[in-house]
Amino acid sequence: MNPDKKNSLPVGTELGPFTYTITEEMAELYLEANDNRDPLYEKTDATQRRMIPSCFTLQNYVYLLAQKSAWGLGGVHTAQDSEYFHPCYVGDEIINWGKIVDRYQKKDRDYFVMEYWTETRDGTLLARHKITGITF
Amino acid sequence: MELKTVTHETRIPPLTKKMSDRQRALYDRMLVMAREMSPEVGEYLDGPNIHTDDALARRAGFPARIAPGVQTYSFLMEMLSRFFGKSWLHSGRIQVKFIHPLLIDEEITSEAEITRITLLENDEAIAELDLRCKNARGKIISVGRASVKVNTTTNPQKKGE
Repeated sequence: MNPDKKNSLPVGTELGPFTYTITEEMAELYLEANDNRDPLYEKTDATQRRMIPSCFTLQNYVYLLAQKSAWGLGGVHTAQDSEYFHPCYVGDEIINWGKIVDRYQKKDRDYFVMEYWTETRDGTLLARHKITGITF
Repeated sequence: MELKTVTHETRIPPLTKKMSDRQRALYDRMLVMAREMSPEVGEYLDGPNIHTDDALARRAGFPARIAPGVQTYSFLMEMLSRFFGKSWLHSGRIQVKFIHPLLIDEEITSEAEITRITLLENDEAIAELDLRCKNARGKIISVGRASVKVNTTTNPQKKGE
């Protein structure tokens, strides 16, 4: 990565698909990274599958952006809007898509707005997000 | 799906957490996993950034490394998920504005208050909430709103009406 470069994708840029299968290792890592000990995610549920926090899908914007753009010094969240429709489970193959919907400058800083969403292989929408962030 | 039963008087337990450098490093490990899944992702994500390097964070105008927004957001989500359970995962909506950065190792408390309950059908309702996160000095780090499907035993109305 070159810290002197940054995300400069224009409005209308479509991102994805970025596809991966949620593994037990990812689930453990995510829960540990957030020190999340909620019993809801400790064991399999009535369907004999293990749920993971739905906000796991939030970070997929990083991967979608990084498929096409330099990440520079990183980004800073200024706003996030999310809707959750179904839980995520270990073993789910998830497909992520996104789109840059706005870019603007404010106080000499570069902002981007990106919509992105996560669905399963059969097309079930799990979560929809919109991030507003600053790129450095 | 079992819905949480709430009234305007229902208190949602706040959640206090701290984001350690070790936890932040675990997020880096997730980036490594992404690299393994998709090599072209790694080309751009590899290397230091404002979350991992004090000098780069200062260059971007921060006093030191800052916690990723996804982590502070996840603490709010955990508070809501703990309280509302699966109904949050099926019907939760959250809008958050991040006002000030959270520094690594800083403590953060997430709070929520039910502000309105709107009746749907079959005793189901939508609860609306105000959200905020503050650091140990009481400084507001983020604010927001959320909504989730619930059961209710009270007449729908805005709190205080």
